[in-house]
Amino acid sequence: MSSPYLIFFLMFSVYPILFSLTLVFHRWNIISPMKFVGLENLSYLAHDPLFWKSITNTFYFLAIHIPLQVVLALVLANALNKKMWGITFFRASFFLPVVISGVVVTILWKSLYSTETGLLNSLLIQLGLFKIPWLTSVHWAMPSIAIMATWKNVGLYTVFFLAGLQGIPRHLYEAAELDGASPFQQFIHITVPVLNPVVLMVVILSTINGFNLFIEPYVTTGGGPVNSTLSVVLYIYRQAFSFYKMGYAATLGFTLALIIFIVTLIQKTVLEKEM
Amino acid sequence: MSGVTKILLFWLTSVAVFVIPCCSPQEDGSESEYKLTFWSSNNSFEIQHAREIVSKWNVLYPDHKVRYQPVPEGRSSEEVILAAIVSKSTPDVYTNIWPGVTQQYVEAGIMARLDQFPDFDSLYTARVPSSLHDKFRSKDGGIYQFPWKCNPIVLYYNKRMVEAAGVEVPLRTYSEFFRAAAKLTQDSDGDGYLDRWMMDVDINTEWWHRFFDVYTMFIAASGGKTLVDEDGSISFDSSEGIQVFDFLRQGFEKGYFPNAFFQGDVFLQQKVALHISGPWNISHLERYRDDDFEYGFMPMPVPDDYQGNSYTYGDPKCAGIFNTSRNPETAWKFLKFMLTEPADKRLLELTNQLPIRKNINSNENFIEYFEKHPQYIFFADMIPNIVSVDQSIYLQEMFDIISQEFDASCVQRLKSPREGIRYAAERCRNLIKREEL
Repeated sequence: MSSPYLIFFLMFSVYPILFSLTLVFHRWNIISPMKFVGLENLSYLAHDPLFWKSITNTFYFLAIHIPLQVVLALVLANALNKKMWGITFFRASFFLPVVISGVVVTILWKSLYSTETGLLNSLLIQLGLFKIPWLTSVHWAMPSIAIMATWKNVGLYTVFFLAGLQGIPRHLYEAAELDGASPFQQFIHITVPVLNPVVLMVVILSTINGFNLFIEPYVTTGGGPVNSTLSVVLYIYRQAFSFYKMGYAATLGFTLALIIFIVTLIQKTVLEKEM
Repeated sequence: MSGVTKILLFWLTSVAVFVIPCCSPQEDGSESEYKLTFWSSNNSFEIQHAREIVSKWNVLYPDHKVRYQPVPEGRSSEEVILAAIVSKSTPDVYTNIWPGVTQQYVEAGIMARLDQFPDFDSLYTARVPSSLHDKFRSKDGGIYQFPWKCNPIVLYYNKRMVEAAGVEVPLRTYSEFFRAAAKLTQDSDGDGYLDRWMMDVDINTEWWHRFFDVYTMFIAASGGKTLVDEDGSISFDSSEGIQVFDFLRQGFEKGYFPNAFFQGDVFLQQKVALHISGPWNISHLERYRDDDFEYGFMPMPVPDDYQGNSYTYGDPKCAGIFNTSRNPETAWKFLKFMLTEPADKRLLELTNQLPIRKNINSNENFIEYFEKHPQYIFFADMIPNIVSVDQSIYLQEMFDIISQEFDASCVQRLKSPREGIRYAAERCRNLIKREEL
């Protein structure tokens, strides 16, 4: 009964993982035979400035993206957790970017961000402010990408929070109201603590998704300016599919998986302690 | 049998029936029934050209019929060919080989050596301009690719904008270029921000963008050098390389080149006066230009002290035979058929792409075409002075390194042109040293 699943699992999970693990110890450009190089790929990785730059960039992205995502999703979920006319339309609208292709969203934002012809800078000029080099400045490029990624994904996490909010018993708020708690106090002392498991899930999922940052820098900046938006996955992609260094790309891939595992474990431990 | 097992069996049977026969080489037919497979580029004009050539061939040689298909769709044709190599389903003949990947194919032993054919030399010397004879030779001394067509990269200029600014063209030197740039770069609506620029230089750091700015300019400035000299030294680690970086840096620093991403064609929108491109852009401009939009061409500018001809990147594409071919002699015969004057004439007429052929602009078989399409004469004149790329397996990575340093030195100005060039050269040397260990 379970053999089809087992075959599928062996073919599409176990075999690729083992093959990639083998690649870590080889040099291979797909068309020439593999060459065993021992720990050379790992040793190169340890001294590769671009790998460390991509790691720093990815953590910088996460530092902006995750708090922004969690706060915005929570605020939106709160706003959408009301009985009002047209609420389904608003809920669907905020979820829409999640189902639109990432490439389409990124091209749209690239157009908005254009320094010379973009809508955002046109608005800033009309307000008497100055143009911002959203994607062409070392300082602005990664925050701009983080905003773009947050806009794309916030709808998904809003749904998670909304589900959490709808599971909070109404009587808790009624009791607090009778005790004279303000809406803000109710939010801080009831909503937030009850939603802690959802926060944990959202933070972990955002972290995993954030580590896989690829489409946004690939389509908008190509990793520039001066590698300031080079993410780990974009770097892996270049090594594998621009330079055909499959061994090194596999090494980077396993390292990324290990980093995600460690970070997620730390987040889980810290957040669970606070619950 | 459970539902899942049935689905799995159905799936496996479907794969066996429909997919495997499509991917497998022909094993059933005898040698006489064997058909050569020919792949070309997959743009509609080249498909039309290839179909015409194949139909003529199949009528002339019914015993050696050729089956044609455009290269399957993919992110790039190089990626598709790579997949075909891995699955051993490469065609016999392929005509869209970018010389930058040939050395990789040669070292993997998957290309047939063309200069092994007895009549190769006579055809090669008769057709290919002598200045290009050794440019397509691999490191082992053999020739595995036949230079077929090219797209010389030049500067397009907007005639109306240039005339209105009182600028005389062509702009030969960097000084002349910058004097013109000072006039052509403007804030036309007076809002305090520039909205007309001298030229657009793509700031995307993806490695292949550098073919159309840094590399073409280095070729022009150095009198036709590629990135690596014959002795293996890095040729751009030189005064010419630094001058090119300095030129680009000044362009961005003074605002002559916009440091921005644009949507659409900024040259056609008349936001820039000059634009770097190849002959393929002519049909695009002709299709979309307004009536008052006129354009001309000039060679790439060179440093003030440069003396010599105008060289440029030719963006060549080659034809080759994969060694999966079961009948390389016939494949070679078909390839020669592709390289005849009538075939080249049809290539020009149908695709507006220039065959790499001696004296094409004075050959009586092509004169009629150039009389009808005078814009292409400028490009045809440049063929003897086009430059290809190095036969190196590290080419993409070297261009990636140069692109990063171009970004840091020229666009963001975080280091000097000298530092940028020196660091790029050092990284390229380390790359070659590391890979060759």
